[in-house]
Amino acid sequence: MHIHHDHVASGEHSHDHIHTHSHQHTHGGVTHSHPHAHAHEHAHTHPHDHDALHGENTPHDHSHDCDGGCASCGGSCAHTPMEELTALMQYMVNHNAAHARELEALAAQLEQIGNKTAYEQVMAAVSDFEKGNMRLSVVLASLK
Amino acid sequence: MCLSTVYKNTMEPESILMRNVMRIDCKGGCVILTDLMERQVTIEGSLQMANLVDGFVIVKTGE
Repeated sequence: MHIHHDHVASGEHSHDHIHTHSHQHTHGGVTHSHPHAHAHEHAHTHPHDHDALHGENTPHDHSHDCDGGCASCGGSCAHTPMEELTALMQYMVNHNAAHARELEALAAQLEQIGNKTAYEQVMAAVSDFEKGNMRLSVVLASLK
Repeated sequence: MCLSTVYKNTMEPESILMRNVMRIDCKGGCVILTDLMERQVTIEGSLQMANLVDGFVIVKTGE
C-alpha cells in the first residue's frame, strides 16, 4: 500500500510508504504473526513503474494532488473516476433521504410538544429538502 | 452516518490517509479504514479522536 508518491522517470526516488506485510512477534510469551502496515521514508528504485502498477490493478492508494482522483494519471484503476463519482452521488442521495426522515421525526416531536408553527416550518423545509434531493436523483440517474 | 476523512497524527492535507471513509475497524494494534469503494488501508496505530459532526478522524501512529 503506497501513499503520496512522487514518481520520476528513472524510478529512483524517495517518498513515504505504508508497507503492508506479515509480522511475527511475541506478546506476553505468545508468538504470533499478523498483517500490519507501517509508514516510513526511504529512497529506492521501484521494480516496476507506476503505470505498470495501474495496468496490473495492483492494490495501492495514493495522491496525485488531484483530490484523490485518478483522472490525471491515465491508468486503469479498479474503479474509474466516474464510478467513484456515481458511488458518491448514490451515497449522498441516500444520505439526504435519511436526513429528511430524521427531520420529519424532529418535526413530529415539535408537534407533540405543541409547537405547530415550528412543526409546519420544519415539514416545509423537509419538502424543500426532498425537492433538492429529487434533482440530485435525476443527475444520478443520468450518470448510470 | 457521514463519510469521514482520516488523518495521520495531525489534521493537515499532507496527512490524509483516506477520504470518504465509511468504516473503521480497530484490530490487533491496527486501524483498518474502508472507503466508499470498499478499498482498505491498514495503519499500525490507534484512534486518537473522531469528530462525527465535521467528518474527520485522527489516527495516532508511532511516528
